[in-house]
Amino acid sequence: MTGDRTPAAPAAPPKSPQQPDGASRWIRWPGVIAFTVVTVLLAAVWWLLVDGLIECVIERTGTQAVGAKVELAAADLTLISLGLTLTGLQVTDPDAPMTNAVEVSRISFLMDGLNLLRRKIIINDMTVDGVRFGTPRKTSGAIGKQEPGVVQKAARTKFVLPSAQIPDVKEILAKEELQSLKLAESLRADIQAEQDRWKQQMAELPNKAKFDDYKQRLDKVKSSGNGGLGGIVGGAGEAASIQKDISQDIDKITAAKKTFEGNLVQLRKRLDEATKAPEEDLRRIRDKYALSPQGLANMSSALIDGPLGDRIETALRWYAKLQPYLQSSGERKGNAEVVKPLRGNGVDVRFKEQAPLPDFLIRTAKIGLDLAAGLVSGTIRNITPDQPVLGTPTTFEFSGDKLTGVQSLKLNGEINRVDPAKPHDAAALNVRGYRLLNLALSTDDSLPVSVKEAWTDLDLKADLRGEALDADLAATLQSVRITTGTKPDAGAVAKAVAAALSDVKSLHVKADITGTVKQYDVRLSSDLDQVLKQALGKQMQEQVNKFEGQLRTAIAEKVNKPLGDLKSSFGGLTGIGDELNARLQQAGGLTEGGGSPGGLKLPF
Amino acid sequence: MYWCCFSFWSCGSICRLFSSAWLFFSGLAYLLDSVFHRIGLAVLTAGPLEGLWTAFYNSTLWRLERFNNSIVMGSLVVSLVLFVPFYLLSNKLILKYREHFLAWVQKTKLAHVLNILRYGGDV
Repeated sequence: MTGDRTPAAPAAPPKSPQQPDGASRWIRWPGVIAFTVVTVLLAAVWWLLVDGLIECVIERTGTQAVGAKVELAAADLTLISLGLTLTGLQVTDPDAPMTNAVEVSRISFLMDGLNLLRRKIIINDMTVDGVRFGTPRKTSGAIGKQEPGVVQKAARTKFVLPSAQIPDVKEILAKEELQSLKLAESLRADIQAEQDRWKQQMAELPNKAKFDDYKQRLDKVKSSGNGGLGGIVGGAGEAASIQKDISQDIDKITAAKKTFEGNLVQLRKRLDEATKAPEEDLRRIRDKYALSPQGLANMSSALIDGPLGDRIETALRWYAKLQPYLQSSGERKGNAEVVKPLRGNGVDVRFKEQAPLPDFLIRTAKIGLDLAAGLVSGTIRNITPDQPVLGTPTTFEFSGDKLTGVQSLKLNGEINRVDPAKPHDAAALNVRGYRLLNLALSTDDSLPVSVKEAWTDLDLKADLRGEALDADLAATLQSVRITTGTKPDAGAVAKAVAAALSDVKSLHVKADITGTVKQYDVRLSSDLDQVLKQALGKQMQEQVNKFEGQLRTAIAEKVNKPLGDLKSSFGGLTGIGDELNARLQQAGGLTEGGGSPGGLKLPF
Repeated sequence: MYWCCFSFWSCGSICRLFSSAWLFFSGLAYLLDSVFHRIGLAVLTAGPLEGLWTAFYNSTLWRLERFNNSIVMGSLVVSLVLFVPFYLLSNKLILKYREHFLAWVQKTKLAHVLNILRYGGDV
């Protein structure tokens, strides 16, 4: 690489410098010593800083992923039996920065050194101890930028206590638009337009004057029939011409009559609708302002929907955060897969392996959840973002027995991305003998409701195929104590609801969750519906009847006159039909022979 | 970084040359990343070579070399292709340099400084 060494260069070589001692020797000891010193220093610096670097990388990456501070107390890397131990991991809840969503006391694992040379992080066994949820933080874990919510739930039913007061009908009608009035006004305008149109058309149609003219002409033909053979022939031609004219006029009137009758049918139909519209208005306004059986069912759903909806949203929000780590961003090109690493570093192309292993794999993670109820242990298997490479889904199972306040708990499921085109996640949760304490069902000022205590059995089965979510929840609550914060001056309805809820000793709740992860719908049913119906049904029915009576009278006052006008306008239209019939009869009389006066009777 | 330090410590001409070349070519490679990426990706995803790459991919030694990275493969291919023409061209350029510029360079202050560093001031 230094070029031709022949003495071709004419330039004089530099003044021959004195060669340093030992320059011709194979080993230059100063260089070796310098190399060794530098290497040892670098190793020492690395050794001193590596734990801090790992800690920094985990905190930075975690914070970026979660959207709130992720902190680590210490990281310890061991080279002999290559392993890492992390202690004091805190993951802030992005929605509550003074609370940790998860806190882990210790995570330790060993890595497969040989596979690490192949740039594969393979962890056979990981131990995660002291996992706790919702622990308080000393300082805020907010990082300033809040990720916009990804889960959009169908509008949640708000708990509203029905009022015992009959709503003011006049006030309601002042702000409600009556459909019956709108229909009547619109129809009246149309009838008026139809009348005007027919008035003009009737003037253009053959009328009595024209028929009289035909009669005079016919009489003239008859009289000319007495003038010999020539008169008879001429009369016959004139009579045929008159008959043709009359026939054309009859056709015109018949066509007009047909059109008119068609229009009349349409208008009559609309008149019937307008006549029935006040009843529709009554039903609509009554359902809106008075409590119906459906409203009672909504009220019981609203009680359960609040606490349940919060938990569903939390679960789905964390599930959405996990998504990027469940599947790698691979792209297939023939039999090779192109995986995008960090920007500016090119792309890594993967080929078929004899013993395929993903780039990252935790074969078994043993996890100890330190819950308030006690220790729940579990195992997660095959944690990897490259399930298609491994060919096995990630599975998890947790269980706990004889916990404080829970007889038994079992959670299992799988996250299956083996076929990236058909992702399928499933989970099943079974809880037996869970002591539910102080669960707020409603914080509405009119009637705060909470479950003071209940023993709960709960079964949840959730299935997610692609975006389609399907989950069933069934809960049975026994020995229920529901407390309500009714005030002494509370209304009759609040008192009745409070009394009914206080008497509830057992409760069955069923929830059917469908839709997508981003937009789901919860259908709830419980025997609270029946309890509330029994407690309030009679009282509400009386109220509804009174309200309905007042509303009917008020609507009638408003719509009776416009409807009356409408009917009389419609009656005006029927006069046009009569006139058309009369003209047809007159024209028909001209063409008939027989004894009718002026009938078309040829003189031979 | 490591080799830069080493070169300054040893003050050897080879190391100086090495570090200068390393810095220069690293900069050049950074500028040509997108070209290397395209060439490397085309080579790695070429159907007829798939068997070869698959065999390499299953070898730990080759995996250590990161041959399956598009930029690594692209820069290797470019360097292999340019090796012979570049060798011939650079030889000619060196001869020209010695013929026309060496005497002038030897007289510059930079050359003096470099000679002092190399021979400890005994120039």
